[in-house]
Amino acid sequence: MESEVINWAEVLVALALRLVGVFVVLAFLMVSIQIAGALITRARQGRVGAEGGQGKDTSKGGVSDHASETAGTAPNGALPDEETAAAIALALDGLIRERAAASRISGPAPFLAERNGAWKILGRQEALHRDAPWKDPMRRRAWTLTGNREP
Amino acid sequence: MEDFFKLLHSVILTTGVIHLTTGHVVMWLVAFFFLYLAVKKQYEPLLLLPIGFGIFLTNLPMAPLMGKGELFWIFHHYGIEWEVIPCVIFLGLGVMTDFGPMIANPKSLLVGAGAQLGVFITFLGTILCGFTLKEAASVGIIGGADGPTTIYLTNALAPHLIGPNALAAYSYMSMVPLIQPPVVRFLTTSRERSIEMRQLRHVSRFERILFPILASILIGLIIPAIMPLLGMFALGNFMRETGVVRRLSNTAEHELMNIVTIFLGISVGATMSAEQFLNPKSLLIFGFGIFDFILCTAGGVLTVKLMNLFIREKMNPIIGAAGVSAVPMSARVAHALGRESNPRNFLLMHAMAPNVAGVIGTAAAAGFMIAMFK
Repeated sequence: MESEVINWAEVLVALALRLVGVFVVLAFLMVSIQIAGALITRARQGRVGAEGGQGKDTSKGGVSDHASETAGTAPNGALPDEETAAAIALALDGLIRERAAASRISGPAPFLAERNGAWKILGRQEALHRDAPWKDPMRRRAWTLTGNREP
Repeated sequence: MEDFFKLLHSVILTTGVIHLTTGHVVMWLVAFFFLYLAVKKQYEPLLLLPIGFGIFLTNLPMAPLMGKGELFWIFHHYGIEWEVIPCVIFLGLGVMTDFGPMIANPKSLLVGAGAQLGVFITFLGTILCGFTLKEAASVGIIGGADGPTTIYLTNALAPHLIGPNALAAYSYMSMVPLIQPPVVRFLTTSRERSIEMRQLRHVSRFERILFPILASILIGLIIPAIMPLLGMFALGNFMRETGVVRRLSNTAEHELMNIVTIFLGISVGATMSAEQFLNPKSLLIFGFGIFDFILCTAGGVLTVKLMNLFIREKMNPIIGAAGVSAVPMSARVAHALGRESNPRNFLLMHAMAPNVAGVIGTAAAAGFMIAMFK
């Protein structure tokens, strides 16, 4: 086998620094993600607040967070007509309640989404595919226990 | 009559029969072993099958495959020596990878770093066994359980070891369900393995899109040496998360990935001629590979246990085993182990977080090794 003169002290220090380096890089990344996440959440909360409280988080009713992301904003950032928004919110609320009452599992409810520049209430299948409960280990059990299959 | 025998002799000399050596036959057996693992046991068949067949073909004496300008040489030269294939594979992996669990639980990045412990310990062990510094670095990275990174680093530092290193990496990756559970059980108590973890938060699309850019800036500035791999990884992930180039991301995930996997497997197998493979170093590499893999698994588990001393919401130490980057096999193993201790435990998504963090961790370790020794 080849042999080379190794300065062990130098190698050990270099290695230790590299190992620390890996930790530092990933720790930097961790902190950056946390800061970015906090900033995004704050910005979103601010935006929702500025838009008159629409788009409140309805996730307690088993609705996907997508609802809160989309409910308060119109396509291209413009606010929808106030009356239309109120009607949509009412319809959405009714659907959510209906959905929650009909099912014991915390599956997704239909939710509001912007599609090709128009507001649309997504159907169960589409909502399911967006929300994908089978991907969530905590909800998958309930999902499969109620006779559903993973797609 | 004499002329006839001369002619016959010259004909026989052009056949492989006369050049067949025991080494070739031994390599056939090695090839058949890997083909058996791929076909019968279905251990990483996508890679072990072309690798095994590549070993078999390249050890047919006189076959014009690995000489300069010959078929396998061309695959190897332009695919691996030019460092194209590992990077293209990382593009496909980027498209396949969901960083959501990791973004939801950024602490898992530290677990991914802790799981690189074995890489550095094995590095020292291999030097003590007479490997050069560059060879030791290339062997050490096997424990990271990331095939393309192992190939990339080995090609950069010790290209003559590419065959055994790649084979060891892929073999041990396929044996994750056999290697990791005893290590995890040894290092954790039943109570620790029963820890339930809270459901991860929803990660918005914007955060997912931002991540590959953020990671590229940070890693690119600190470890530029690894950017060919991680840059492609980030590009693939960006394509996936933006969702505006479905055709490209579908191609990168399926067709392109499949094509390069074929060339990767053949090229790696083709480097394993009897003369190159049948030496004590190869055996040592396999020995160190498993040692390394065990240490990396232990590193991940112990990192979680250490973190648990300081954090309020405890993490299940099993997910530390997924800090090696054998995606998603080690996450599945962690999930199964968790269910074994507590049937109400659903650790899959929690384990995916350190699992994808391990990919970044291994690439970071490889980047540092390249920067240090190249």
